[in-house]
Amino acid sequence: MSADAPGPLVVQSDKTLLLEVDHPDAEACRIAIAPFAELERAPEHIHTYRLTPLGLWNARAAGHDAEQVVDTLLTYSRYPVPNGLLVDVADTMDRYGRLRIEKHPTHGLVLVTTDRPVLAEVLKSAKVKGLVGNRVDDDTVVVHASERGHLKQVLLKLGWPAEDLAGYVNGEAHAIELDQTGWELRPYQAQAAESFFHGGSGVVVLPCGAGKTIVGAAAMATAKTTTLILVTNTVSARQWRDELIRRTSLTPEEIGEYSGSKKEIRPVTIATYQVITTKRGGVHPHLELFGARDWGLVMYDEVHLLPAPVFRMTADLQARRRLGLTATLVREDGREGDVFSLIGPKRYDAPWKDIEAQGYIAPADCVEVRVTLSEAERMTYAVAEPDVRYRLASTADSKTDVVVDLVRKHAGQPTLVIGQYVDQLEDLAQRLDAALITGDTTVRQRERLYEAFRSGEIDLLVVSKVANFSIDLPSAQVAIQVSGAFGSRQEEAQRLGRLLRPKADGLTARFYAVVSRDTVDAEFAAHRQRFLAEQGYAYTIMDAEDALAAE
Amino acid sequence: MAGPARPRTLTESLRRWPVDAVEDLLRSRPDLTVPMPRDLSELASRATTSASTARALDDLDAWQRLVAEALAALPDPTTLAELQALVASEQSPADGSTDASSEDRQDQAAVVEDAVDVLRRRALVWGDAEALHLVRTVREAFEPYPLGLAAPSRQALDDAEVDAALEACTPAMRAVLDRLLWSPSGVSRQADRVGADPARSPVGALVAARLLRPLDGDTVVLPREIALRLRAGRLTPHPVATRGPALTGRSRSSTLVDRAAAGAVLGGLDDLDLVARALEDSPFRPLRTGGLSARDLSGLARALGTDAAYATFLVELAAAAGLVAPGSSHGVLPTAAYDRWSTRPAAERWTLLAQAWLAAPRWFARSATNGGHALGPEAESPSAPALRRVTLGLAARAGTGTVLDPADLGAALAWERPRLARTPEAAVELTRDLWREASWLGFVALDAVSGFMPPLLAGEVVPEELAALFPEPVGHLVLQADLTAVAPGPLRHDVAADLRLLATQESRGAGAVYRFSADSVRRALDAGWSAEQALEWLRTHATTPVPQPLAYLLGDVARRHGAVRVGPALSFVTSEDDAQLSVLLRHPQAAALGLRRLAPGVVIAAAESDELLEALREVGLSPVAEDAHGRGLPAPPVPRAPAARLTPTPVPPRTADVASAIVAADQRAATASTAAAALDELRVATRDGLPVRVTWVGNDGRSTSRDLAPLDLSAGLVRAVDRTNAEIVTIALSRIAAVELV
Repeated sequence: MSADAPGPLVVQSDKTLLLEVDHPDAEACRIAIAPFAELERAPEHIHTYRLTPLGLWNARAAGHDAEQVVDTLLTYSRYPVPNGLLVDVADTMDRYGRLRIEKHPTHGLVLVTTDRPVLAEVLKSAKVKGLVGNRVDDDTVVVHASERGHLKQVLLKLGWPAEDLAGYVNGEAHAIELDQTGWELRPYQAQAAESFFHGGSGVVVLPCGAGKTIVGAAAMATAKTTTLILVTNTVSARQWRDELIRRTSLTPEEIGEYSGSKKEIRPVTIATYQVITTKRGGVHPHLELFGARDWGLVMYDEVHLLPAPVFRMTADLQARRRLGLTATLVREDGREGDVFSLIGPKRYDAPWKDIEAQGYIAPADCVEVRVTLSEAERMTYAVAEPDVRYRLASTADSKTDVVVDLVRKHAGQPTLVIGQYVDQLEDLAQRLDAALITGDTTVRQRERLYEAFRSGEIDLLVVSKVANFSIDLPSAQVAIQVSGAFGSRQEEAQRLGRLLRPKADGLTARFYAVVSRDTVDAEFAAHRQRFLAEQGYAYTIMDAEDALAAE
Repeated sequence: MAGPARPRTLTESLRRWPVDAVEDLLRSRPDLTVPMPRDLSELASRATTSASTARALDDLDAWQRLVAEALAALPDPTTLAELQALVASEQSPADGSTDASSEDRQDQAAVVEDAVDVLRRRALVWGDAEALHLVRTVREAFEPYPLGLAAPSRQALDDAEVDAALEACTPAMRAVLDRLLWSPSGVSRQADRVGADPARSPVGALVAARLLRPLDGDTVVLPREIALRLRAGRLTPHPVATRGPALTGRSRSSTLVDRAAAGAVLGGLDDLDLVARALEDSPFRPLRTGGLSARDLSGLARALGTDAAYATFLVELAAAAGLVAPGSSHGVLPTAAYDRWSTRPAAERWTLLAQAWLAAPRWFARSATNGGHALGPEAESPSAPALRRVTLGLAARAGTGTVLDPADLGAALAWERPRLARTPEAAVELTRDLWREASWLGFVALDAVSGFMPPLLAGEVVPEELAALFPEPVGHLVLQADLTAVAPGPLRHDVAADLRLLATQESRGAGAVYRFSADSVRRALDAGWSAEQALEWLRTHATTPVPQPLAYLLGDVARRHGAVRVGPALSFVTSEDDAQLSVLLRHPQAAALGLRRLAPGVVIAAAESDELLEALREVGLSPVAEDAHGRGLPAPPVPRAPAARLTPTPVPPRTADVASAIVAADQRAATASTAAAALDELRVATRDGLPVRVTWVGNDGRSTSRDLAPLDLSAGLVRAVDRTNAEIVTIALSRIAAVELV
């Protein structure tokens, strides 16, 4: 960057960085700040990154130091950087690594410090006291091996994150190779797997449809050990199984399913979160799965949905490599810090639009269709109790009518209608003469319908929330959302993900969100679509009449 | 200053000075210029007042002060050589050896001569090397014991005698001598007589040995020669260096430092804007004692995202620069000067603040410590400007880009102006505060002196290369589909003010991020903008096209805005025939009545309904008035007086009734059993539910007889239902005249 030309980055005093995407140096800048800054928003012109303690500690864990970070900021910044911010960055990064968890030849796991006052400070904390043992010397204290994960969590919250240098158990070896006949590992997938492996443990963030399963397979092929894969539901488990058989050298006998219906423990075992977290008589009977084999790699699918009990169990798995896969790291319960300390730092991340630009994900058109409720409906809504308002607004008949019209408009194109309220979905399914998938639909029935949709036998499916995650519908071209859970950003992201599978014919997919005007429905819709806009998908908002009239 | 003859007074000495020497004097002692002295003798007499002398002495550095004090310890007049001899001992060579080579001695002598020169130039000393006179008020300033030495003894002991006497001292006597070493006089009872009995106390022994001298009835004093001998020639408890400690440090790239300083300045200007806006929104009321409350300040600190100390500093700085001031009764508000200031370019804005800070007679850091309040009286400090200038002057001398430790700077300050900070520790404390504030203001960055310091100290404007570090304000925005507007640099003040109406600021710094929402757009519409105006404004100021969701949002909010209208009205007129109302509106009284057509068929007025009725009748209409509930008012009632009060005439009782009552009562008295029988009848009737005819006498004396169905009997009362009209009556048993079964 020349000394005179203004740089692409604007450093804000609230620790956000604004990157002007159209600037000639933007690409170089992005690569330079990626190690320590987290991408928060990526709309069309200006991407927002944020400097957070977690992000800075991630960078330290990867080997960057404060001087490099300060240097990068000063090099690319367009304007003079506030001094306080630089000092703060240096101070925060400095906190990482003052405490290290290491393996001691005689004492086992120990907590070592390079800075005695810091050790003294953390040892004073009540929470830490129960996790450590005796003092070995002024700089070292024994750590109970079973509390390795717990200790990392607590230290992170205290603001003195520990560097985990105690290494991993290799686990039982098992030969796994990638079988690239008829397909090829994409560059970003290889990069993601490599970054993960290099870091030891951590999370890979890739948008829906970018092939996270393949990244998992690549990681397994690198580790070559027995693997435990945790997924969200049985359908997803079966899909993982199919993918692994297709992409790797694994045979059906080597892969076991551990779910509500089956309990197979094999060198590669796929279990659901649900079955793991079942409690019977106050205990988790299936916890034995974790100890059943000498797992070398534990993979968590859809890390943002990790239920709280699984975090607790993961705290006990710290000696094994852990890989988290997800499209959105944002959790509605704010436990991102636990993901960081228990599974590991983020090892790979890319904005959706970039992967789209590379041709891997289909571009999607997002339209919000505003429906005006009838007089009577508005009246009912106005006098209703607050807790039923959303339901009233979402399931209004005017809305259902518009949905029917929209479907008819796109007749012939593979279409999904998605909603939350089963009675509305039933009504729609009946009026449209389409198949309906809800929580009550059996797994076998679901798979049959998915297969039919995939093959083109049917071109319309009405699905409820249950179909949100981990189903593979590559040929869906139009999705119409009628109602959704209350404003969850993940939900919207996941739904769009259903469309974002690579399309053979390069067609633009379309996503409709049908919203009742002037109600809470519209408010929640705004909240959800903001997230998508921040990912680079611009919404168009149209009145129902215009939407139906447009092409 | 050897002339034809030695000057005999200070005035005479001054007369021989060249003009630039006088100028020098006035520059170093500016208090002498106000009010302007008429001639040199008045100048001299002013210069020798104790107030002026005290100020001049405060401006001396530690070495010069020592030399002045030494002169005070010597007689008047004295020679330079004597002075040098006295002071020579202070200058022991660095290696601690007592022998000084001739070069060293020459250096020492030169240093003393230089100090005397300075004192002479400041009119504290006059005369030449052979006859140095110290101005009397200076001498008085050091009394009673300059250098902690008593006046020269009339019969001084020589060195050998002193040594011998000291040799013979007991430890107790030595202890006494040590106590008096630096402050020679001590109280002792019967000082003049105690020497007669040496064995009684150490003081007595010392006096007897002539190591102490009685001054009067109860004071003894340590003679000068003894003190000097005991001190081994030292003049002060702690050695005074002839020059201040050198300020050095490692060097940092000045471009880096200057950029960091500019960053701090930009941040500071932005923060100050936020402070002004916060005060505008919710002004702080000063406490009765004069400052702002700690709670207000911590709220401000939260808004800024920093601590209370920085917030206090900003408020004090703004007040010192005249940008905020306590308003009439509303608390502290931005002033008109602030509005003018905020339109100036960044370099100018900063210059004003920096100069205000340098000159402020308040020590801001004191407001931020415990017990202090921003803008409160605790921070008053008349010596603050001098302190700032001297300290920063010292730092600037070290050179821009030099990293300095505030502790070193504090030590240098303690030497340069020993009277500005009471103790060396205090000097370091003050310097730390100063250094912190200087880094907030951009004088210091990355712990090094920045290029902004020297020009500002010299009172000049910011030089061009540094001004170039401040970015040009931008006037355009980037609009994005997530309903944000990003300013890729500092926004022009007017553009920012307009944008703040339309959107809420989310992120501050060199650039800014604003977010549009229904609430923020409504704010603009409330302020009088229309959706078209807003859209046009956005189109003009954005480098990117207006995203469709944003245009839709504007339209949507505007659609709902103003759909409902509120306004005042005192009375109204409605008519099904709108034409009639038009006629009314053309009535000559229409304006006076405040008539306004609200909607077809409705006109409101700012007048009472009866006035309006008048006007309507004049126009030829026949209106009907309504009351507040919409009901037609009937014709006003015909006036009547209230009913006349007549005293009621009592109705005479019917004689027949009276007669029978009396008889019945009589009978009752006679035959109590009749009453009992009546009661029995009643009881039976109640039990069986039989109707009875009861005759009883009421309160007015009239007897009543009715057919009743008794309900119950209790407590001397009977309750019954009147069979004709289902009324429940309660009768006292004692009133019952007769009971008959029906």
